[in-house]
Amino acid sequence: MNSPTPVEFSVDVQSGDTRSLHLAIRGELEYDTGTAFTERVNAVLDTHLRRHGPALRHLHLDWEGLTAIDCGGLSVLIGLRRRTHAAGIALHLHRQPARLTRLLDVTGVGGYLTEATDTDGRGLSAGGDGGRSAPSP
Amino acid sequence: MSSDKEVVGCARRVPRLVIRTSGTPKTPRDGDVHVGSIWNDAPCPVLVVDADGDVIGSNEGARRLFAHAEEVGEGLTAGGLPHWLARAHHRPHPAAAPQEAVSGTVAGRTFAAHPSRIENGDVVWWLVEDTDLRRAEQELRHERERAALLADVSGALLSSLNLERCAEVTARMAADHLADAAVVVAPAQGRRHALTYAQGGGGITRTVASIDPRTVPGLAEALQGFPPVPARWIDPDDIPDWSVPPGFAGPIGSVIVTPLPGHGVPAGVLILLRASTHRAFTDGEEVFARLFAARAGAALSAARLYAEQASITTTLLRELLPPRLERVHGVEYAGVYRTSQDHERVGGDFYDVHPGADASRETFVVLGDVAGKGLEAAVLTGKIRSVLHALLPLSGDHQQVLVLLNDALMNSHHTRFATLVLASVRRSAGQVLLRLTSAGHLPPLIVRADGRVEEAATGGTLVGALPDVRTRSVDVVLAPGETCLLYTDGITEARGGPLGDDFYGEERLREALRECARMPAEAVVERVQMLAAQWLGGGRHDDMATLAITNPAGGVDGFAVADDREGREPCRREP
Repeated sequence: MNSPTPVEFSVDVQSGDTRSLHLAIRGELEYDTGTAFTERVNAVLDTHLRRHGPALRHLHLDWEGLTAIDCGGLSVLIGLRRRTHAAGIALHLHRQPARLTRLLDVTGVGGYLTEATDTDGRGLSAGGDGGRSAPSP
Repeated sequence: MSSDKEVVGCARRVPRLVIRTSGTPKTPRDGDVHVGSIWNDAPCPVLVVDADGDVIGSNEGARRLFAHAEEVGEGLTAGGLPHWLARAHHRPHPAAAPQEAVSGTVAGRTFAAHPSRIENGDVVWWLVEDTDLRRAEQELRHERERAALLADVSGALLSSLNLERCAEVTARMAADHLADAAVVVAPAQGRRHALTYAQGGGGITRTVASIDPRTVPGLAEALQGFPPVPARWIDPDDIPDWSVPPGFAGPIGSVIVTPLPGHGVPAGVLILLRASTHRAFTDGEEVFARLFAARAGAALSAARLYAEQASITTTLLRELLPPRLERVHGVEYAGVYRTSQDHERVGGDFYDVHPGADASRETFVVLGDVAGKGLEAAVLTGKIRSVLHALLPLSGDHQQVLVLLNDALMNSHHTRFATLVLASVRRSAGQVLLRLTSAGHLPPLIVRADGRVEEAATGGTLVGALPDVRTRSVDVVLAPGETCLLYTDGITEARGGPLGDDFYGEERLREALRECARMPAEAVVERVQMLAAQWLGGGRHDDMATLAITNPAGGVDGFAVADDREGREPCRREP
């Protein structure tokens, strides 16, 4: 309804080491909270980079606490995938609710988000994130 | 006190000492009588007047005051009194009651004259000056009137965002309250200016004319927002005919040209005119005219900004509004679009139907959803619709269309994307042949004539954010009475229901569609939108779009529509 209830949304670091980080996302990842998600995850990645250098290879996202997601949320996830993949960091999704699974299925984005990276820290796909492989008709 | 006179100790005895000949306050009749020796000390002018109205005594203050009055040519009565005082003096009054003070002016100063009556009928008038008090009261009254007028002006002007109406209100209020006539000169549009004329108590005239602003002193500068030139620098004989309201009687006596300051840019110029038969504008009036102009300018400017915004919005909307759908080549199309903000008319959902050149060609249908809401999303939908329109010649190959569209939308700076469904539709031998491709969009639902609801087995990636587009198309055949429904997630994600926070969901949508078998396309989309709206209650929602492609239940023959008949001929030629 027209509820002015505050949007409860958070991204917390659950655990991590030099090569991997586990983040837990709680609340609604939607058009309105997308910017907050991006800023928060960027801050976590920046902190890791300062402490350990470019050693991070795996970013695990735990979605158990996700209560809602829309196209705006999907948009910031694609943005995250672009940045991490270029840095050789693979995304892993865990415990996603049915809604997120359905959204990734319908939009065909699931495979793209969790695409593997090579161990050198560059994306497997030619040219990494910035490059767009030529469309094959 | 003089020694040869009897007693001049108190006012009431004075009259006894004077001779009854006419005098003036300056030279009272008994000029020899030194009655003023006490009154001279009085802090105000004092007059002693006999029953006939003749001044028989006055003090130094009175003499100086009346000498000055004489210098400035103020007329006095034969008895030497100002007329207002003489009238008060002769006014009958009950002997017992104390006579009231009266007020009047002498030599430009105002006085309250307080009478003291003596037994023999003479009256001592004590003139207590209240010039400053009067002036202050008058100023206060004027200020109040001006403040009230400014409040009126603001109220009247701000109640309208219509530019013409604002100019009319400005001109009329200026003519009624500040001058005899007023002209509002709007900023130039090209070389022409809109002019709004008003006369006090008269009508409003509007015209658009090509004028030379240099013909009115200060106008060219004021139109650029420079401060006004003082009114006394403007020669009323020099101003051109166009600056005077049509039918204004009499020559112009004085002119004020003051800019109407806008938000950053001048909102025009206000010209105030006063007839030569009336007094010229004072400095105070000039200052007030600027205050008035500031209010009017702000309102005119707001109205102008609004008008520009409205015009831009209208222009954009014309391109972005969803099209009106109808039957094409024997196939029914119907669409309903409800934006997330009910006062908006455009948003992030869109649909288009591009009819084939003839019934043998495919009609190309698209329905899509851009991530985001409002105008920003609407602009992207406009882009997508344009690209798809340009790609119409290739519309038979959905994969290629989507790859090209993806390339056109891909941007390294943002990940704004769109999901869409493409449909190529052709009628053949009483059936409607569909080729459907979902690019990251909810698959269309097929409503069979017997009430079954199937999900079209198509899927693919969204466009605009991923380097590659992969899609899987599906062919579907619609028998008469069957419908293919394209819809956006605003329908299934409508939040509401009994608990207020449930999604409407795909299952409820399918359930609703089961009852839509053999319905016309229009009825299907209206029903779906109605059910979703009911589910929402008053809740917030995303854009909601629905588009139905229907093979009419009665078959083509049941509908006497011209394009159906045209459609049959090529259909028979189908292999």
